Amino acid sequence: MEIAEYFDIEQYSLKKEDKQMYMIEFLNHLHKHHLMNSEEYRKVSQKIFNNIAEIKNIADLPFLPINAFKNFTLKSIPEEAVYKIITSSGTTGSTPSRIFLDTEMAQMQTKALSKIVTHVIGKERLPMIIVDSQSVLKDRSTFSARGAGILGLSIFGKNHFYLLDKDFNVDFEGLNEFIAKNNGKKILIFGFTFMVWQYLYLQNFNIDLSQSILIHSGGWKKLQDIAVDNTIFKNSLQKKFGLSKVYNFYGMAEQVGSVFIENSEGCLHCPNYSDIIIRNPKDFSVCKQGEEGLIQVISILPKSYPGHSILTEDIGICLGEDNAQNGWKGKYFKILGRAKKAEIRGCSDTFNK
Amino acid sequence: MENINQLVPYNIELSPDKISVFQNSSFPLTVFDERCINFLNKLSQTILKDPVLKNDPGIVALGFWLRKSNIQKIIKENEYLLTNNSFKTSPIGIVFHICPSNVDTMFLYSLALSLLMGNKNILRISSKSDLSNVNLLYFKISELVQSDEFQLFAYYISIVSYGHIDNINIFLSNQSHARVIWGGDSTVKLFKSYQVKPRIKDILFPNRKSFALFKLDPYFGLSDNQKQELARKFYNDTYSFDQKGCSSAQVIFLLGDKDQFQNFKIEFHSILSSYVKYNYKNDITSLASLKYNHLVSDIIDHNNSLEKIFIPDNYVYFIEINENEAYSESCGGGYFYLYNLKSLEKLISFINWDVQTLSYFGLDDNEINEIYQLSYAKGIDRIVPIGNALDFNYIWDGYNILDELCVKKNL
Repeated sequence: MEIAEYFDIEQYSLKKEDKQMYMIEFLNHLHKHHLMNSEEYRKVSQKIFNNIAEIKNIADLPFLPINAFKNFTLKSIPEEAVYKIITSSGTTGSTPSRIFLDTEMAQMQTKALSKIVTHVIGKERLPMIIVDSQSVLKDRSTFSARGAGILGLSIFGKNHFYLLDKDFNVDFEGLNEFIAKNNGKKILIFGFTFMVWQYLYLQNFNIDLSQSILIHSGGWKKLQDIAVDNTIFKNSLQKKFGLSKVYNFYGMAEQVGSVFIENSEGCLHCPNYSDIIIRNPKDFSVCKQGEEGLIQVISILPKSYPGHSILTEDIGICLGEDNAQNGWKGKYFKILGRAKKAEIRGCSDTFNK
Repeated sequence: MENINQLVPYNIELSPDKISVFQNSSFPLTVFDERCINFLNKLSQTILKDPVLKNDPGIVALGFWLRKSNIQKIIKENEYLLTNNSFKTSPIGIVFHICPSNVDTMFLYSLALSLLMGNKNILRISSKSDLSNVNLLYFKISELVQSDEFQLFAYYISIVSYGHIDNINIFLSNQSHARVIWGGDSTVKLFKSYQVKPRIKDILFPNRKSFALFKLDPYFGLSDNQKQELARKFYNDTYSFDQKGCSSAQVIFLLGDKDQFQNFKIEFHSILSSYVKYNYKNDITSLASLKYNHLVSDIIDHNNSLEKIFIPDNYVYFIEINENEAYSESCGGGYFYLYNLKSLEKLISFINWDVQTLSYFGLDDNEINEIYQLSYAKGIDRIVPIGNALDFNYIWDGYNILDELCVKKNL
């Protein structure tokens, strides 16, 4: 099957056997392509993965650690074909990942995202509230994760309204105007999880969002610190604004095509393009459903750089496959946290900060 | 100047010029003073009796080392300092110790040796050291120096902690006659970069790396129990400080033929790994990420010097190297480079000035002597049996620390 045809298959409609069959074919193409075109991927495949030529199972695919995209320039296209470099924010102070896209890859990235998001919000472009300040987009040369998220999602909306002004104060005037104009209409809201909590929920205003859809991403770390989990988050928004369609969203700059949206079980769901494997930290063996481990993400899209199979530092648990209440097929999972930075201290760190 | 925290002799925040060693200018202790031996012995008893401290293997080792019998043995070995007719040995004065933050007992070895020479001591402890056992140790020392019997030592020991503050480092350096700088290259460079009085004596401990060597003929003569015992010793040498102690092996040399090497690799990995699994307390998830990241970086950066990768699990990484290129440093946490050695001469091509410890199994005295001789002017400061890599000795990194921390006066 050609990838273009694969894009036309309805999201979340592929059952395990079919999905695996398609994915293995695509992944074998990618594997060979990256072996040919990325010296780094080839070296790792040779040394760690026995120089595997063809995979029979998705779990056989070599994987790069997510850190490799920070430490090395990984691409499978010539320099002159690079159209766009995405940098991930990473944690403060750390080197960002750099992801190299050619034009084809950039188009695919948009298309894949669109297929997944419109499955949830519908094809119509909706009036959109962005729970952030436009100032995070100012420096277009280096996309921050937040900026990239906003830009990526804003194509699904129209008449965009940024809830915060440049000083991160709620623009009440603008909000009233926006509400008046779109009264009773279906609205799309997007923001980072902690921004939504801080600047939408915790603010002293109330509007009717019962017709609206919220998509939020960015992780729970900041909210965990104040003991807000997904359930509290959703209940609170429902109670205050009547907002019931709330979707958590997880993706990473390092892997095009891996956009995971919350399903009916409150879990993140693999789209047609991607799959996850939970790996046991003791030996990287594949965990059974319900066992905790490091999340490996796999996508059939990354072609301009060897990012089709990445071992993340996120700890997760796979909770089901093909059996979500809302009928979505595919694996679904939860993220439980992130591997701590290993506490390794040398003789040589008396004065390191 | 900013204030600093003085932890010993009593816990107080004060100006650096007010710490206890500056409060009394006399030097009543002589070299190898009986009072000092008694003080260290008392500290040893305190440590070995304490219900918490006596469960910490590193601190217990220190406790045994401080015992009167051991100290007397050390003195005996250094008798020449007192018995030589052509010079007289005196304390050097005030010694400023910059202590490492990983090997949490090191500060006390450094202190004990300097005290034995009759010196006063300022110890700068990393503010990161929030390990409760070490804090308990400070408390025990404080109790001791506040007692009537040992109050003299309050003017001999100031343990302090402060941030990365250059003028305090410089001030304390300038008040001292010698500095003992643990903590590796960056700390050594930092302290050497300060403009301090030129006569100050520096004893420097920059970054070092260490190796282990197994001779495979004798290894395969061991019983299963003996092999397990050997693995346990090797574990203590390496995993105790996350394989990042200067004396913990990063490279394992296997002296034997190819088949022996392959067999050893598989068998010893399995024995060591099951021991690590139940005894190593560091979080396996972060270690798995750490080691896998390092492995991938190694493969990309040093592909030509890596042969086979043997990682049946994430507790122990075995990376076979050849002599093609420089391999990188281990990331720690149980990441070992392996090399199949055909002869002892071949070992020497891996030795450079940075190599500190060679811990071995199965070598006889002749072979050890051969290595000593082959390593002249190249490296290796100590050759010890596996299991003793972390044992502290007053001879360290090529220094006799006692002999360094005194002045010899002509008669």
